[in-house]
Amino acid sequence: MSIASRIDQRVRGLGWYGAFVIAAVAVAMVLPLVIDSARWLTLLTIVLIYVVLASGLNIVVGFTGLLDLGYVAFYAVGGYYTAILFIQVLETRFGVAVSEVWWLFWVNLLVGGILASIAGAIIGYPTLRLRGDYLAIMTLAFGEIIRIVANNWDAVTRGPSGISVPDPAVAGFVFGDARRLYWLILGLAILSVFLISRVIRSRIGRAWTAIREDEIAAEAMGIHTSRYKLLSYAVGAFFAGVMGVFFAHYLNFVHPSNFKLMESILMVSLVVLGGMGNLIGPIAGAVLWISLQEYLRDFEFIQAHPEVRGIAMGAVLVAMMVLRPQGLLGSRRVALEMRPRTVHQSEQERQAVADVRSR
Amino acid sequence: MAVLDVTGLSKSFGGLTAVNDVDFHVDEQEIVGLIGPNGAGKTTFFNVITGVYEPSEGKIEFLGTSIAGRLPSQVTKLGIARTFQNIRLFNDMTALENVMVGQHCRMKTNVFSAILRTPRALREEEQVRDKALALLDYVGLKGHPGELAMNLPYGSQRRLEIARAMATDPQLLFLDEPAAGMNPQETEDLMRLIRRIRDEGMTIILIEHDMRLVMGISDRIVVLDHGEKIAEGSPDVVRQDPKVIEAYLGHAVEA
Amino acid sequence: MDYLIQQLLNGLMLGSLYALIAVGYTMVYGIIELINFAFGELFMFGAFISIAMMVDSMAIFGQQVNFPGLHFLLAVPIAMAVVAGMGVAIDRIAYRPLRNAPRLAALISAIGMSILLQNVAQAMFGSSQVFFPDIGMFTSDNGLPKYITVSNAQITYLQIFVVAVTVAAMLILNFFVQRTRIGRAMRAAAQDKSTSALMGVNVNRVIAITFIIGSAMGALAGGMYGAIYHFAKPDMGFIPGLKAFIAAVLGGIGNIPGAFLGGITLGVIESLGSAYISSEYRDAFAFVILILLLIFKPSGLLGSHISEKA
Ligand SMILES: Nc1ncnc2c1ncn2[C@@H]1O[C@H](COP(=O)(O)OP(=O)(O)OP(=O)(O)O)[C@@H](O)[C@H]1O
Ligand SMILES: [Mg+2]
Repeated sequence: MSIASRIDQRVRGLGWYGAFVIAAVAVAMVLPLVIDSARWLTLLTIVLIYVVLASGLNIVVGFTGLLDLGYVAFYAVGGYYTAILFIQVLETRFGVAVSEVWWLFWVNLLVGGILASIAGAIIGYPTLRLRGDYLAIMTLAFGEIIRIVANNWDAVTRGPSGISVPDPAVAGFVFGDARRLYWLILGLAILSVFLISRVIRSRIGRAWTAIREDEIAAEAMGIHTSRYKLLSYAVGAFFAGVMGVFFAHYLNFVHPSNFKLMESILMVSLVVLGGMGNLIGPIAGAVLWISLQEYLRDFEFIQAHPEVRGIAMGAVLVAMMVLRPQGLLGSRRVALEMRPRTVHQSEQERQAVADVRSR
Repeated sequence: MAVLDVTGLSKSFGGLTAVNDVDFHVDEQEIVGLIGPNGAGKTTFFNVITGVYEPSEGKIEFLGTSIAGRLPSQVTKLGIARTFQNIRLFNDMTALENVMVGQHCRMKTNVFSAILRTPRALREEEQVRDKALALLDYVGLKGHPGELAMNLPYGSQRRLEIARAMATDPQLLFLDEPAAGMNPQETEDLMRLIRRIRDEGMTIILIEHDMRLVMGISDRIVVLDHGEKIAEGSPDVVRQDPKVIEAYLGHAVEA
Repeated sequence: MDYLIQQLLNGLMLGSLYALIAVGYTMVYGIIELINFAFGELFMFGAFISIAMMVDSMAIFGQQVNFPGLHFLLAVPIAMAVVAGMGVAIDRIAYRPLRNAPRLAALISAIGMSILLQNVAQAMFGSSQVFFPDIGMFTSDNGLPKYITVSNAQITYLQIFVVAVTVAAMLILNFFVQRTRIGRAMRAAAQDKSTSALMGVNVNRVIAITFIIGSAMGALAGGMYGAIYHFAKPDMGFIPGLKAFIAAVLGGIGNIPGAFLGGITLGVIESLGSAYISSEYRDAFAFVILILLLIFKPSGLLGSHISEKA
């Protein structure tokens, strides 16, 4: 088969959905060339951070059907890990110049993710034998403990004074301005969503969804449900950890107040708003909600009444559950099999039947 | 050799002994009917063998390996599959996906190969899909691979459960009231399907209240009452067993 | 030694409040298997409404509104009644439509309700502390609390009052659940909802009554909390609500005497922990207990069944 015809086949195989995704990514990539205001670029960057967070949380809440109310804790794990390593350990303790260890940021994205995964599995473990809603309480508790510890363990976290963190960089090339940071997070977001979609559209995603639909039947079908729930917690937490690392270097600061309970609730809202168990849902939820939130932030009324945000968030959660549990984009469910082959030769079918019978 | 060999199996819930000291065995390619009045402990018997509950007492050997107390997923992986009395499909997944989930424990793709879509992962996924389609065809659901399980008619849901169970590639199949809620025509088709599955090499244990079906299809029948085995033998023998008649009349249910 | 006794008393008082809030959690979980996070907020509203009933005027949505200036002993029952109504409304709006939905949906709705109420309270009463008037009864003329001395430890009248009211409320509740027709219906519904519906139990009504009781108990706790600490604040309910849930789990969820035992145990551990170990980590003790509990004895002290049924 020639390369051209192969490409041709690939493109045809994409369909409308794929074409839309590619177009959206292309627009997102050129956007900074058109937009000049740092404020808008910052807004877009924050949107993308939440896109990843909501997509990661969606693994646990949307696909596996378990409520994680302490997702922000894993975000904090990533953020504090990188801040402590860079500043508290390397700079303060060993006198290393942070610009010399610029590569560590990139390593930390991965390590922060892995640490968060481990934390996710540890937190989830005690709840495996229990009804799913105990995970909500455990994660909530863990989220609070992390914040309390971050606030009080001055020697390590510098408590309420927080830790300053350097910009991401590659050998002297610093991702310091809004545009470069935007491109960086865009790359991370595309990669994350891509990874998540691959895992979801595989045997693993099917197993998670089966657990959500009926845990007992899933177990009876040969899915080691405990193991897959742990995997779900871990994979979900991984993306929060990665974003925590990015966020710390993006904001140049970690502080306990970045990791409040309301953040976790916000992330759940994003997933619920767009549609649980749907790859695009949390992305749409994050784009919609975070843009609106960041846009409204400067309005006088909102500044005088910060509770409006909480009222809207609570109302969205209740109203979506009661009126439209599938979320705004809910009708578009994810096919949990890889793309179907276009033609099914009856020869193949006959062989498969023969295979079934040959047992 | 016996496919399944159960000795002295008991299961109690608090004060209630749902299964009481039952001996049971099935041979290869046999169809065994498990009958008994409501609440006799039939489903509990299934649940204990398939690992949903741990037995209170007794031994369970499947092809020579003890499986008592193992997880359902492990039991399934060893080769026992089941359907449920109250249909338990993955409602929000398509018929095809339901059957693909059934093949989960025979697949090897992990997080990394799923991300990389290695040739092996792709091949495996394709094979699983093809086999799932073939199984749907096999149970008579050819036209509906993309239909959500919850949107299928009742009879089709029962068939889909059978296809999903067979997808786990079992040697022993437990069917819990597969004909419940079916009309006579569907029951007829189901009987043919079950026979065909057996003829192709499967061993089957079947709970059923539809006496015509269970008597017509089983090689051997085991009767439970109050958790105890009260009779065992060919359909003709069991049908005339006074203890069985007594159990059913005593409960004044069907017969 | 005196210090220890003092801390034990504080723990007992705090634990009483947890126990009262835990009643709602444990009863509602017992029947509809839902963690109604909003009980923490109902506790908070109990405190605010008690204040409103006790003062002559107070700002609501930024407007001064006149209030009757009632005695504490009258204000709290009114708050309990109002909050009970709120509890029923919450159930109607946010949970009843989801009775047959996946558990996740109701749980998300519950956390949404909690956040919603907390922020509505902030819109109504502002984000800072609102002063809870002194309830008078247990304060002597010089402004200090009245107390009795038992072997060198000072026990305030207020502490005795809080514990006594809690014990009385628990006894009445236990009588209600064990001896009355509605109580029996409740226990039946907790055992098996569909069967009791078949037997003629009006399950929705039973659930509504459960919400009434749970909410009223929460409001009672809120009123007494205000009397002890002299303030109310929109976010005051969330953490105590969580701790009350932990207390319910500790006692064995679904179990009313368990809620009492769990609440008291938690209150005492928390008091002693913050006195002898670290006061910064005060809020962490409950969570550590939860984690240990879920690992080692998920059925709680008095037992229950919380593992998945097949
Ligand atoms: N998890 C459980 N906890 C307590 N009791 C149980 C449990 N599962 C089953 N039982 C009881 O065990 C007994 C046997 O039930 P089982 O479901 O096995 O009967 P069955 O023979 O399948 O009846 P049916 O024909 O109605 O399906 C019944 O009394 C039932 O109430
Ligand atoms: Mg049965």
